[in-house]
Amino acid sequence: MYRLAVLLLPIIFWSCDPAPDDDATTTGESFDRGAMLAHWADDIVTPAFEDFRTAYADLSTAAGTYAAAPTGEALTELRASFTLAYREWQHFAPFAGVIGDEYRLVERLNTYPTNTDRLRTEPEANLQLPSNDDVQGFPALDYLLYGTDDPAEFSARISEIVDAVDLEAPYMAWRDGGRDRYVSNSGNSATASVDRTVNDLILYYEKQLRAGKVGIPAGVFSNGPMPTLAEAPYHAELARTLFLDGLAAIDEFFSSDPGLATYLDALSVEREGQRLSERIEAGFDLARARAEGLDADFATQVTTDNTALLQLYDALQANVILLKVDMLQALGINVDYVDADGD
Amino acid sequence: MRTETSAAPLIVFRTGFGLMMLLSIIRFWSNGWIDKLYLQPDFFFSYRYFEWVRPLGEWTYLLFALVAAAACCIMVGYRYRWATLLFFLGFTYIELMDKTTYLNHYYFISLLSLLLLFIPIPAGFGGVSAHHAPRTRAVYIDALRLFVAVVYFYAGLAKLNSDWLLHAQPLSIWLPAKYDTPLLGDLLQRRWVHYAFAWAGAAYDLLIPFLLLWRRTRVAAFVLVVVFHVLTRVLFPIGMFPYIMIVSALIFFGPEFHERIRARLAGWHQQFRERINARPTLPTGPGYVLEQWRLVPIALLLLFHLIFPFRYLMHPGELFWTENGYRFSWRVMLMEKAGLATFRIVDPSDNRSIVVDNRDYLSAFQEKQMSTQPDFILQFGHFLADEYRRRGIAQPRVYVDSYVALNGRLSQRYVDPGVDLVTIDRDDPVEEWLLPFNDTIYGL
Repeated sequence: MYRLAVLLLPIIFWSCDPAPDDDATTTGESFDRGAMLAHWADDIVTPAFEDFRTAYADLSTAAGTYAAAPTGEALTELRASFTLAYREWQHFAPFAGVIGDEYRLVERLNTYPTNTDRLRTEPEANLQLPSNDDVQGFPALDYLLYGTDDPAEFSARISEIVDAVDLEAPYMAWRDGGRDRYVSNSGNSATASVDRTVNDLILYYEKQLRAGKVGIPAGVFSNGPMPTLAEAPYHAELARTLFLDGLAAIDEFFSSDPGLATYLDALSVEREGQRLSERIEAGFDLARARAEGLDADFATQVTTDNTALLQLYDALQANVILLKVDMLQALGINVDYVDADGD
Repeated sequence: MRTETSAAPLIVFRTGFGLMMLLSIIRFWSNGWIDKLYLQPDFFFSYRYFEWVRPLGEWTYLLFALVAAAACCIMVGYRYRWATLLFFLGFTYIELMDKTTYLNHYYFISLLSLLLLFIPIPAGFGGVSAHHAPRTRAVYIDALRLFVAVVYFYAGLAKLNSDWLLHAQPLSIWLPAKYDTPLLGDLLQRRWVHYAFAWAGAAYDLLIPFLLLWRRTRVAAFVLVVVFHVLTRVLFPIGMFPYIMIVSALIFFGPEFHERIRARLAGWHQQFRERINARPTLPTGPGYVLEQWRLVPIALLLLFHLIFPFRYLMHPGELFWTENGYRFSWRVMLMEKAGLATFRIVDPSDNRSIVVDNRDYLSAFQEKQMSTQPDFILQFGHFLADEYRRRGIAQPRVYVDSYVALNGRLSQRYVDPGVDLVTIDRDDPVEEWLLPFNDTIYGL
C-alpha cells in the first residue's frame, strides 16, 4: 500500500508531477473587496432598486387610474406597467436581501401560486400578515388582471395590492446609511457583506430561479409536471421572459467587474485546466440557450414538452454545484451565518 | 523506573488543565452554543455504538454545569480523582451527543482526562516553601509528556502528503480569505507564503516534541509553541485549542520551573484561606502513591493512543475521501471539503418521488458537515426513511445526489446516485456505495 511507503516519501514527492495548474497559480496582487462591494452597491444594487422603484410607482399610478375609472384603455395601460414592473422586479429580487430581509419583499411580491379562491372570497385580507403572502404581489395581480372574466370587478383590490407594499422605507434606509454600512462591512466573517451577499444570491438562484421558476413546474420535486405552479400562468406569455430576466440579473452580477468572476480570477482559481469563472459563465450561457428555445409560457411548456424544461433544470443545477461547492470553497466564504469552532 | 521527583509539574498541569476546561465551558455556554448546537436541532448525528447518547433537553445545561464544577475541583485539587472521573464522563458524553461538533481537541481533552484519572496527583498545592513539595514518580510526568508529544508528532505525520506539501492545500484556500488580518493580510495572498506556512507547519509539528524534550532548546521551543498557536488563533476559528496546547506544553519543563509556579499557587491559596478564615490546611500527603496497578491502564491508554490513529491502514480508498479512520487520529487542518447533498425519497408503490429540503431537519452547521462525510449522509438517509415511513410511505427508497470538492479540486459526484441508502447498513464498507476519488493523494 502506498501509504506505507513512508521512507520512500521524498522519492515519491520528487518523481510525481505536480498538477499542471499548480505552477500557473500565482496570486500576486491582492484583490480589493471594498472596491467590489462599492461597485455592487452603487452600480448594481442601487440602480436595480431605483429602476424597480420607478416601475412600481408607475404601476401604482396606473392601478390608481384604473380603480378610479376602469376603462379598456386604463386596463391596457395597467397591464403594460404590470409587465414592466414584474420584469424590473426580476432584476432587483436577487438583491432584496442586501436591502434587508426584514421587509420581506421576495415573500410579499412574488409568492406563487397565488390563492385564487381566497383572492375572490377574502377581499379584506390584511396584506401585512405573512399568512397572506399568497393573496398579494405580482402573482395575485397576474390572476386579477389576466385570469378573471372582468378585471374591473377587482379594480379597487388591484390598487390596494399594489400600494400595500411600501418601497419608500427600504429605499430611504438603504440611501441613508444602509449602503455605507454595507460597503464598510468588508471583513471575512460569516456576517460580512461579501459572505452574506453571495449566500443570499446563491439561495435566490437555487430556490427562486432553479426550483421556483423551473424545477417545481417541471415536476422535479413532485411526480410529473405541475403547470399551475409556474410563474405568471394567467398572463400566459411572460414566464420565460421573467426567467431570462432573473438569470440575466445573476449572470451580470457574477460577471461584472470587479465582481465574483474577477475575484476568482484574481485568486487564479482553475479547475482541471479551466478557469472556474469561465466554467460558471458557460453554465449561465447554456441555461440561457436552453431557455430561449422554450415556449413563452412555462405552464404550456410542461404540458407540451416537459423534457426541454427538465434539461433547463439540469443546466441550472450544474451551476448550483459550481457556485455553492466550488466557488464558495475557492473564495473561503462561510456557509453558516453563525461562527463555530473548527480545528 | 522508580525515580522519585517533585510532583510540582503534575500540580501545575492539573491546575492549568482545570482552568482551561473551566474557561472553555464558560465560553461555550456564553456563546449560546449549548442552545444552538444541542437544544435547537431536532436530529443529531450519533457515533457508532453510542447511538444512545443524546442531548438531555434543558438538562443539558445541568450537564455542562456539572462538568464546569468538576473542572473547578480539578483546578484547585479538591477531590481530584472523583472530579476527574466526573469530568471525563460528562465531557465525553457531551462530545458523543452529536458528531457534527467533533473536534480533535475535544477528543484530546476526553482522552487526556481519562489518562489523568489514573495518574495520582496530590491534592491542593502543597506547602508554601519549596521544601514542602509533594513527591511523585517520574513515570507519571513522562506519561503526560508522551501523550502530548504524540499529538504533535502525529499531526505532523498527517501533513506529509502531496496536497499539503506540493500544492500547499488547503492553506492556499484558507489563507487568502484572511485578507483582513492586520499586518499579514497582503502577505497571505502570496503563493510562496502558503508553501512556507505548509512546510513550516509540518516541520513544527514533527520537531516540537523533541525540541521541548531537549533541555538546551526547551525555552526557544516554548516560545515557538506560543508564537505558532497564537498565529493559528489569529488565522483560524479554533477557539480554546491554542491556549490548551500552550498550557499542555508546560509539562516539558523541568521540576525547578514548576516548583516556582507551584509555590506561587500555594502562596495564593494560603492567603485566600486566611482571608476567609478557613481552618489551616493539612499538609499535603507524604509522597507519591506506590500503586503498581496504575501503570497498567496508563500503558494501555498510551498504547491505544499510539496505535488507534493508524486504523485507516485497514481500509481501502483515499482517506480524505472516505474519511474511514479520519477522526480520532490527530488530522488537523488537512482538508477543505465542501459538498452538496440532495436527498430524494421514492415511493416504489406509485413511483412518486419527493426531494427533501435538508434544512427542514438539520441546522446549517449540521447540513454542512453532513454533505461531505459518508457516515453522516448514510445516517441522515436512514432517518429520512423512518420519517417518510411515519408519513405513510410503506417502503421508501432514499437516493442522494451529492457532490464534493476536496482541497480545491473540481467538485465530483460523491455517493453513487443509484444506491438506495435504505439497503446500506452502517457497518457495510463505505467503498460499496461511495464513488471512487478521481485523483491520488500521495503520502501518509
